[in-house]
Amino acid sequence: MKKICCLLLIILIAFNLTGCWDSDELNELGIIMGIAIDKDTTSGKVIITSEIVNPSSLSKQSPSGKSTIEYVTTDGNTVTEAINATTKEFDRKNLLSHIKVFVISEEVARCGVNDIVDFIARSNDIRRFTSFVVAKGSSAREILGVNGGIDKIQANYMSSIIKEQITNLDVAAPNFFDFLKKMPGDRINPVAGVFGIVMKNNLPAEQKSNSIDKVDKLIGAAAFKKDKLVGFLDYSETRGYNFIIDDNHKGIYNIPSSKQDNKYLSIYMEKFRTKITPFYINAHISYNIDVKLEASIVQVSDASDVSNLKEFNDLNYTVSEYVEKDIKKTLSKIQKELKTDILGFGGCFYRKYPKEWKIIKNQWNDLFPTVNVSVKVKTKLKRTGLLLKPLDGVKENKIDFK
Amino acid sequence: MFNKFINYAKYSSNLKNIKSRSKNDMKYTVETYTIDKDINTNIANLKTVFGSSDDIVYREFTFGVNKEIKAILCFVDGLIDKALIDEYLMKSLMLNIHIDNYDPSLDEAQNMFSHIKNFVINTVELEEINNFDKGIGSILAGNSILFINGCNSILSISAKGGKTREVTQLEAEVSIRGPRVAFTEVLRVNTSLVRRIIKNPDLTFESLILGNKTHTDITIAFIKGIADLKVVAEVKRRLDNIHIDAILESGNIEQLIDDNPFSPFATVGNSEKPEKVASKLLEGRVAIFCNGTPFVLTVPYLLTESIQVLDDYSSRPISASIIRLIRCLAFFITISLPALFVAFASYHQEMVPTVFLVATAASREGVPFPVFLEAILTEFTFQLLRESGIRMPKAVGSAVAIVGTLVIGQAAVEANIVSAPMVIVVALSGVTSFIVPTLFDAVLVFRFILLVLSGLFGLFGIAIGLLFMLTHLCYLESFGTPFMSPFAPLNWYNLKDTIIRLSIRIGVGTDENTAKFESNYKSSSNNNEESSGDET
Repeated sequence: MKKICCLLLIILIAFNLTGCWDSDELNELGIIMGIAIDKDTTSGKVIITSEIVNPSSLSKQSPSGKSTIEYVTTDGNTVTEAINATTKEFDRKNLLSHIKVFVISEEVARCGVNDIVDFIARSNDIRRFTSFVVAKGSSAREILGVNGGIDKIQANYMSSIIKEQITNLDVAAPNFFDFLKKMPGDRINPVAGVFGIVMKNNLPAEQKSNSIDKVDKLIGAAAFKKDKLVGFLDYSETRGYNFIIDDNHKGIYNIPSSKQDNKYLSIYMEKFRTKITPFYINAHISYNIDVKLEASIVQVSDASDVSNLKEFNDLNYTVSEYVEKDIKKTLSKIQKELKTDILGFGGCFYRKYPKEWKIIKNQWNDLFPTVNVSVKVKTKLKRTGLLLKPLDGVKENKIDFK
Repeated sequence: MFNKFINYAKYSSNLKNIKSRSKNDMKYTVETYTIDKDINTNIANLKTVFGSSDDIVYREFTFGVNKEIKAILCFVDGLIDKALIDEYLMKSLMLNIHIDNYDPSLDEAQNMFSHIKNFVINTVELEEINNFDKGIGSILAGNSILFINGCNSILSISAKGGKTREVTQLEAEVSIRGPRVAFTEVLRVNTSLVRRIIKNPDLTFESLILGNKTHTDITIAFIKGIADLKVVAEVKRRLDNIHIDAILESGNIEQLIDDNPFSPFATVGNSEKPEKVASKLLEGRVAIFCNGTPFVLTVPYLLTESIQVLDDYSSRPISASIIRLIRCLAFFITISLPALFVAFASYHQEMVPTVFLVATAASREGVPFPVFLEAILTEFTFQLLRESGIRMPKAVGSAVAIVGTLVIGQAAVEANIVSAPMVIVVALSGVTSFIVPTLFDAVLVFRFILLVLSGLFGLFGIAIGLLFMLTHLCYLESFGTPFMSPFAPLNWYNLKDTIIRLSIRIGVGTDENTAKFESNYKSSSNNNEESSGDET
């Protein structure tokens, strides 16, 4: 009995020693949802804008008059220092684990994001699947300060846009983990999503005070060389990039009509598989890109009769041609202008020729812009939708099963 | 396991030596009296024993052809059926029915005694008693005692009567399908209810008396050939070792024969359903009936029994399995949900989905207590309401419900003293606790243990608490059977009726016990082959 009492006493005392040391009450925490990172050009300090949720504004019992999100801007020599300084002017302790989005300004990205990536990757709070985007045309904090959506929390608005990017072929915004994996840059270089601000005219029914509002918009993609931003891809170039490397994306692809000017056929890309094959012959490096597309017709603006098999087959070739053109345009931009291997050509080469890779590894940066790439696209249109004939041409065309 | 068994036996035999007292020597009186031939001495002795109790009736009368034999009928008022005594005892004796052909040769008195016993008194239950002390016991048990002048034996006539509760509907264990009848307080009625279900000569009832002061009737029931005789012997041994003044209900016995008196998990089961007890007997368990309680104990009792309900066996196997899984889930929810909430809200904010975290944070704005204290307070309030709801008279019960829901629930949330999610969590853990009612004791204890641990250490504490519970469950034994079986030790075949229930067709006639039972059954009675539940 005495022993048991002693044991209980020891356990109780132990509780006093260690208990609750890392416990945080929810109403003492500031849940940071998004962080914008800018640079002060004069002093060279990092400016951090934290977007913090104000839960009481969402509370049903006692909704306070304040807005749902509060922005706190702090500066410091490093990102960590600046984030830590938040509590100097804000009454809640930082909770980093729910950060949805990091917005990096263009200047910061051009100077290199190594320190930021290190901070995020080293932290055991921040999720690796958070979004990592670059601000184009405006500062990062301006991007973070625009909410054009329904969600009251701005970062949710941005992260929802990023989540739905796969419904568009011409944007690419990989998550932070993807960026982190590619950042060493020896076999592949990273790409980040790009946000810009566009103006939107409000309509009276929206009952908004301003006639013009700002909204955030995904614009193409940002190409990095190691940790430094080297340039932006526009929409069509990003589409080519997606065809080569990212098969998650689906979406509408337009091809100009051969029959009428300013008319288009819309194809919905359902699936594509891309195979990059390197060849190393006589110390000469070349690549084959084979793209296999599966798509369906969703809109025919001209008088094409897609139920005509010949026309249908021709359409397959036309789609392939245009996709090929897109990819080639992207390749020339990446090879000639950006000169960064964001397509993973180095990795493909390494997987096929690991011994040879050791030799060319150090010159890869110089070799990459010079390699020859041949593109082959094979399209398989699967569906024509519920309509077979063009609506205005039903009577003129007969069904031809040739 | 067996070593432990032996150790326990040694331990309790030592205990027995210390207070060596056999059940047969149980005395009703301090002094020893003998039955005297002189009836007046007997009356005097009786009156000294019973003192001034006025519910004891002494009826003095004379009978015989010439009204020469003096006799006394003694009984406890209210325990006997007076109409029966009047009709079959007093009438027979006083009207000299069959007494006139008595032959007064040989020893007059003894002959008279056996004549009356054999020819005059026409009741079914009649016993000759030679021991005065036994006679006292017989009176207290509700029999009528007849002293005849000149005889040193007495007759105990069983004509029990008086008011007891009728056999009524189930109250504690309500079932949708299946029989509605529940046990009552009368031991004989209870045993008969079981006998009606299991019409088999192997069903054995063995009686004993417990309680030095209350002399409560206890009956052990088991089915020969199915029940493990070691368990039966162990039950008897443990019952024999009970030295206590009062056994008021079966709950008292439960604690005295429990393997682990300090464990929050009961290793003795109880039921008020004759059907359930019968099914447990057929599974080879031993039942303990206690006079004065409508709850019959069954041993050994395993953890899986707490999620088994008779209704499972009358519903389809798939739905029964789903419901059992829900019960398992309910058990874990009820012990761990408040603890999990506290852990997530105060330690692991990163593990909660953002939307949920923001919503929780929104509802917690302005709440003055830390989440752990809030949980303890809300849980404590819930327990207060539950306890008062049970103890209150039914008429006031609804008032408690109103106070509970409106005042404590709504008003506290509106006044921002507790947060709404906390009320939901505690209410959910309260509701789920009623799904596994047999584990209620354990649930109550472990819910608070886990709550404190999670308040101190977060999920780590919950893991420690659950591990502790699991270890404890694996350590427990009920009458030599591991409490966690058939999970630990694992028995694949017996898993068929645990957290899932397979079809009843699986295993019919293949299980060793069933086969044994069926062979016994066929040899003993061929007519009663039909299933046992028909008539009840």
